[in-house]
Amino acid sequence: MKLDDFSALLLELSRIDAPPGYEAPLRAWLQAHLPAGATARVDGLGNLIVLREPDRQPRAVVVAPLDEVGFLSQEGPTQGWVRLAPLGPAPLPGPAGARVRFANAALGVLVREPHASDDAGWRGWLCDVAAASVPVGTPGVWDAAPVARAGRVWGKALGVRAALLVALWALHHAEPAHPTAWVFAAREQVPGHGSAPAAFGLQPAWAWRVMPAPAGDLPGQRVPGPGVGRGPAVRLREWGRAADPRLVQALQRAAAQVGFTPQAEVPPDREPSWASLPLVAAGLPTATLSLPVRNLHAAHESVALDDLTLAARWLRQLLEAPGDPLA
Amino acid sequence: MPATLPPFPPRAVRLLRALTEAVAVSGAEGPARRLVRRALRDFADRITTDSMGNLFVHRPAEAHRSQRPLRVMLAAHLDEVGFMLTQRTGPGLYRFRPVGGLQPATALGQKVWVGPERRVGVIGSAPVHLLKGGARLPAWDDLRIDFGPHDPPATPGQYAAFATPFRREGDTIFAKALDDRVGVVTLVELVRHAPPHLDLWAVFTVQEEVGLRGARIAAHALQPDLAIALDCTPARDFVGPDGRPYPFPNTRLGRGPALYLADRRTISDPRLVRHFRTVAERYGLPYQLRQAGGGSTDAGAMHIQAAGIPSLSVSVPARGLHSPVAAMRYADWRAAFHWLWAALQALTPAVLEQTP
Repeated sequence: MKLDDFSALLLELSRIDAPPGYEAPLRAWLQAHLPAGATARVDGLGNLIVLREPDRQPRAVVVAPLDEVGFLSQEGPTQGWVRLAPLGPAPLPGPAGARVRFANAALGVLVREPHASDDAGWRGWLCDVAAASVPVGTPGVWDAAPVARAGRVWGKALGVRAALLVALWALHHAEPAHPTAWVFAAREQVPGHGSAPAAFGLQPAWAWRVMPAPAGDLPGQRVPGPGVGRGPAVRLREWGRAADPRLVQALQRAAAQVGFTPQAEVPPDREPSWASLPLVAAGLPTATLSLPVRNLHAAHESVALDDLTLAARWLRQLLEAPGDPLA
Repeated sequence: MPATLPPFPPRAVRLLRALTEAVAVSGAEGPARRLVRRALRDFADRITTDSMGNLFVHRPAEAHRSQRPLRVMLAAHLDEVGFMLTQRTGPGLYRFRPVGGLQPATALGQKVWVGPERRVGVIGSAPVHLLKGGARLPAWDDLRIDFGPHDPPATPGQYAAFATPFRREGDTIFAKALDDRVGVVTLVELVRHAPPHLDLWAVFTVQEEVGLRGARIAAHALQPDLAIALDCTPARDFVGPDGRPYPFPNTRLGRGPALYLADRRTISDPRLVRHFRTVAERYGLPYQLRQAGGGSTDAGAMHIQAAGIPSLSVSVPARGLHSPVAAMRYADWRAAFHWLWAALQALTPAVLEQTP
């Protein structure tokens, strides 16, 4: 399979299940698709760390997520039913009928519990597993067959897989101006982000993240955001603080060299997290290249292949651009 | 053939009594720390305290071993939820704030011990018909700690905890601050029974109840190969007013210690989960899986320190945590000690050599 065939790769990757903490199948796939000569290791949290020049201290690190939102099964009210605890920001399924598949191959269908209050969250939902046995603590993910049509791909976990593909493509094709490490980060969807400990071990000078961005282009959306099919975006705020302005400028310069203007993503404000990349060691300047995704973290996400292609070229340009982005 | 489990000695209950009757709220853990230090002074090579107040007890591996021993950090938190006096508002009357996760309703009408000398005060409130706006539940500002008008003045900044004597009724233990004094005593016993092949660091952490602060610093300083949090977790195995079991039980009393798979901050390391489950089955020890979801333990801070530390939590279930009195089963506690002891005995580098 060619690494440039993003459509086929996304379909393949969407079928691999990797909820937070249980990323082994996807990590194995990645290890089989690394460029020749790259050295890879798995750290204590499950991050896959790849170096093309293992003898040189990396100055830059490229971070992409390894995991997708998922679930752990909880005790249900009676035989044939389980409850779900989300791993990561899984949105409530809306109309009943969404499916979840578990690591033991069991399938479940989500049903809204009768008389559940509006604010019950995931506690207001039950998962009908019929005659299957789903022990407490079994990991699961959305069950949604991916589909590619007319330049778009629909399926589960496409946002995180698209970000991973962009980073992997750059790992194969870029000739970085600075020694660079790639971190395919485990547990990135949950508060114990894997990328921060990985960066602590690598001690780079700056970090580029490749992440999905919730699209803000739905009809009537009050707070607009980046649109699907309009190119990748620069994230201007991260973990409650502004992205490093020097790195944001470097992203914008690289986009201009590729010949496009990136969209701007300004996520809602939130509490700063001390488990985040900018607070690693003595501080790690960080900026994010983001890919617009509709229905992010839901059972059926959608991404535009053109956005991926452009993002991959953008990241390569960014890594190959001469000069120090912190200068 | 598994090794014979060590007896769980009666001294553990005595230490639990002393610890649960001490006042050691987050940020002022001195009384609990002194009791632990005294209990372990003859059992450790080194006992030190860091700048935050974490107590480190080191049991190094036997020197003759050729392989580098695994460095294992075991953490149990010394602190408990409680109160801090903030302002004198009248003779013997003090405004106060909660320290850690408490609700005003749990404090209403309770007796408290203030400071290490345990001066007795009472948390009073305006009677229900005088509460503002017809509210039936008080806010913190509606409450005062009352020492009586002739008592010598207290000092704003002093800490207070519920005044609850320890009590044992058969297999059930009732006490305040079981979260996490039960973990602390378990850890004391594990230090006394430390396996010779591990480089064991027992850390009695501070300020867990206000953001896992002590464990964060301690794990960063030690950078162990793996870390295990010993804690106490809520059991919500009540029957509701409609006669049906509460639908979200978390854990249940009497079903053994609880193993965490995931909570609000941590996903337990799958290799350690496998190891603990295997050991429990080998020894025939009871255990239960804590329902995934909210809450957190020191593992939430430890696992993301430095370059990442594989971590796990084992807890004793108890009803009524973060309230004046909680209840737990002695048998669950004893099983937790045996499980941890057996898991440590069987712990080798091979456990971490598997893929996470």
